Amino acid sequence: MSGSPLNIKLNCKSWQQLSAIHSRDLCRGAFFLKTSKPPPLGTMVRISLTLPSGSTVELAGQIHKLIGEGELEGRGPGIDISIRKMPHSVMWLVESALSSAGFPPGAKSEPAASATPPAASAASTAPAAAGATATTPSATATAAPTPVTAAAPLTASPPPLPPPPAPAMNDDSPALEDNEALVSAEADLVKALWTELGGMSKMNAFQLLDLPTSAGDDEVRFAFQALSKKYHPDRFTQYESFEIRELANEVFILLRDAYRNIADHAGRQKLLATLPQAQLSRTPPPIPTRAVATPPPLPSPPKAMPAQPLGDAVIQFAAPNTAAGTQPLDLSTQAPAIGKDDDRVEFALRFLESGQYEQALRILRVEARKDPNNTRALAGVELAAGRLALADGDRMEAAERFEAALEIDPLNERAAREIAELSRHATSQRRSLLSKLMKKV
Amino acid sequence: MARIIGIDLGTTNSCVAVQDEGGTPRVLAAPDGRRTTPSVVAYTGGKNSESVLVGEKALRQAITNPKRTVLGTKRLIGRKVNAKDVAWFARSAPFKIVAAPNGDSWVKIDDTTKSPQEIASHVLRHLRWIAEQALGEPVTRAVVTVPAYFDDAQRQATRDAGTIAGLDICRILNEPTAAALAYGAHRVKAGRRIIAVFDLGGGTFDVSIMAVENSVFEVLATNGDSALGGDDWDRVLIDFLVDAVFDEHRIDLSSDAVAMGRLKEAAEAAKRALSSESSTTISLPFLHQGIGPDPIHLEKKITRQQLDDLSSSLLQRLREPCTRAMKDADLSPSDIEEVLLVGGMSRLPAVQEMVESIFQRPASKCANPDEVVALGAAAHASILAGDEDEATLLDVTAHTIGIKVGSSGFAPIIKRNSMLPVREHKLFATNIDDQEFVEVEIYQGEADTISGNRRLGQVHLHDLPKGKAGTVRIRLTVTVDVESILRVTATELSTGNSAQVRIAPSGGLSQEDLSDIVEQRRLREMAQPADPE
Repeated sequence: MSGSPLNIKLNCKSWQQLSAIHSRDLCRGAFFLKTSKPPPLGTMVRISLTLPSGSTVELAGQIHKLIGEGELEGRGPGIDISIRKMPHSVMWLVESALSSAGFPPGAKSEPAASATPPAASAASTAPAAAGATATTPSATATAAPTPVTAAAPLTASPPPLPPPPAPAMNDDSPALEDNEALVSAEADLVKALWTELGGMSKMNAFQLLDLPTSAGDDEVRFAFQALSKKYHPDRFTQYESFEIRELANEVFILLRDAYRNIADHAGRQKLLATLPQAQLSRTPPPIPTRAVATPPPLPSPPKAMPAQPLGDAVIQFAAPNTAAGTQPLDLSTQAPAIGKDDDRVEFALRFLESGQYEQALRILRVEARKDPNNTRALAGVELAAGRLALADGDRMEAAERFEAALEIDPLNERAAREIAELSRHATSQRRSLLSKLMKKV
Repeated sequence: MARIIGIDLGTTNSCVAVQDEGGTPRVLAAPDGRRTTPSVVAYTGGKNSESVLVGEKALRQAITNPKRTVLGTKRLIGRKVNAKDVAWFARSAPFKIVAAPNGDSWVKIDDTTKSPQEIASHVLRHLRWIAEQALGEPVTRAVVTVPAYFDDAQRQATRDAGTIAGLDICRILNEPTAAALAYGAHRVKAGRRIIAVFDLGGGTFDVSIMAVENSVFEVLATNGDSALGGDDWDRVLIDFLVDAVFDEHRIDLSSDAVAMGRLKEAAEAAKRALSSESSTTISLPFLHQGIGPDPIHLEKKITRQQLDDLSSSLLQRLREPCTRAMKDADLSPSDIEEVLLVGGMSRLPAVQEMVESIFQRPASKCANPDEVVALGAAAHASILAGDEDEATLLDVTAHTIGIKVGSSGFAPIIKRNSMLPVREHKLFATNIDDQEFVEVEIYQGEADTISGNRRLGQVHLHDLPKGKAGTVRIRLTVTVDVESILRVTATELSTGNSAQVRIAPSGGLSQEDLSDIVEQRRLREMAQPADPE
């Protein structure tokens, strides 16, 4: 411990700067600061780096190398600070902020390669330090002038470099335009947790712990332990946001209840006994869509709240073990039975099941135009369009299409399944986002 | 990121530790090299120039300043003065314990009264100062440990002490859990292990049973006696000595504060000596001037057997919390693979024998039973700071939370030893026709009636729909988070009307009281920028 640490505040105003800092410094676990009067080697440094989104990350390190004029790919003179154990949360914050700003943090392994924006060399730190303040505990401030001056040159001597908002590389990047759309990484985490919570609240205990219904005591416990490491509220106390901590509480309550319910054999049997629909959903109930080519005489749910019963359906279909989600299992068993009843809609739906969405869409559009009351055709159009959107990777569009299909035909099992699949996917995506944050896979 | 320190605020001694990023926790020693600090606060100086001594300095002058030297604050913090053990403590304490307007136990120093929170805050400030000296940087955040068996009021009062000391208390952590974490039970990778932590400190006794697997600490059950500790052993010794003097000289020393202070010190030393020797001699010359011409000298030999006989009822009190904890965890002694001894009092051979008889196996001794809790607090601090991502603590509620039903009944809603955070629902019905509102009173404790439990707060639900008794149903939802913050929601099921209340436990001081104290202290410091100690 060599005296009080030097505190440096850096305000990173643009995403290019942050991108440069990320690819050239953070990725190698270090931080370069331009200065002509370096503090002594070994000085402890604390850096508060304010991201363009306004959130601040804290780094602590030690000056491990003095960089001479022109050294370190021409970035010197300055100091190189090795960051003591890069906190994963910091990297995650920076990376997710960058990627939401349209800077893929992927190309990080080749620092200062040709891809590096020219502006970044010292601009990344120098303008960053434009608003920098170096604060040291008063005792050392007078005794050792270096700390104060360490940052001073950064501010005082304007670097002979292009101003920050000039980098060539990103001029053509449209992402910069929608700056307002950028949210801080914490807000991202809040969103992720909300999504997570939304998905989880519809799951049963097995789904929550991501376990097959055949899981034994040990498996249940291990699953819960692994999830605890990610989701226990203690993992979120480091965030300022009250909302994050509240959400973490809610998520964990779901997990702990799931664990409590299925921790032993008796509990699992009890839960399984209450999940007959889930079992049924594996071999879909005979009610849905194509069984009803004729006007729907079915005990259809009250118009006012179609979401209610379907919400339940979503739960069942989302069962991770019913992985047959995209399998055309119904058709293979049921198609022969209704095979002859071949209106064109049925035909098109078969195309849909077999993955020939464009053909299906074409036929269904025609049929729908022919008879605007043909709900099966109308829902089919939405379904096919949704599948196509999904193939294009547009999940938002897909989700809207599937929901529209459900609205037209509240009993459309295929649509319900697609939505369940989507939300399951979204959840697992958020999970991986979170696990990236928590480092653990 | 500013580091978070871990503090073990003990009844007799306190300790502060820190964990460096990626490192292992370490104790922060005071500039004089001491690794623990006596939890003693002394008020010296005149009325208008009051100054405060803490730790070793306070302890050293205790004998000559007994009425203004406060020890064992932890026994008073968040407690009502009429509690049985507080009354017992008050009887032998050399300083005066009085009732605050709300019935809490406060301490009277000369003409002023001090809350235990204020007194404890001096110790916390001193520890903070030690940490700042050792780290060379400002410290503002801490994890502070309390006995697992502390109730919400005691926890909150401890938190308030931190606030007064200018510390942001990130978490109130249970001592046995902290000990297990520091002991490194999770570094043993082999499968699931069930361990019991037996923590007998200066003034409190805790037992926790936990399962450790894959670096996850799952507390299965916890129990204890928040008013049983080493002090009680001292007290039986003191009583024994006082009786001996009375028998021989017909002099009652208990009204002589100075003599009592010396007796206390000697009793403590004797108790410690008897941990390793089979007998010791208490020698206190000129203990009292006597009624006759000659002063009284006390010279008494005490054997370990004598101490054990004197303290046999104390030893017996250790048994029940252990068996209750095992019962709650649905385990028998044979399921427990390791018993970890924590706390200075666990050094006493009679205590160890008791532990072995309860758990039917030899116990493991910590290398440093006085430091292990602070080390665990520091380890947990690094979890909270996001530096440590392996170890995870799943702690439980120590006490049952429920509501008042009927005139004095207690209906549990969240059972003790529920993993935190937790949420439970319970349905209730009105008990008179056309009842207009309900008032749900929330209590904490294990008694069947509310009179034996502690009231936490209440929630009102108005405008109930008309209906016969028992037909209007109200769902009560109680949530407790990892900070022990309670949220209670009452919802009438047919209308969906609901009322919610968030109950931050009260430690006896209101928010205004707290800010007053903090403000006064700030003013005083501005007036006399004394040494940070």
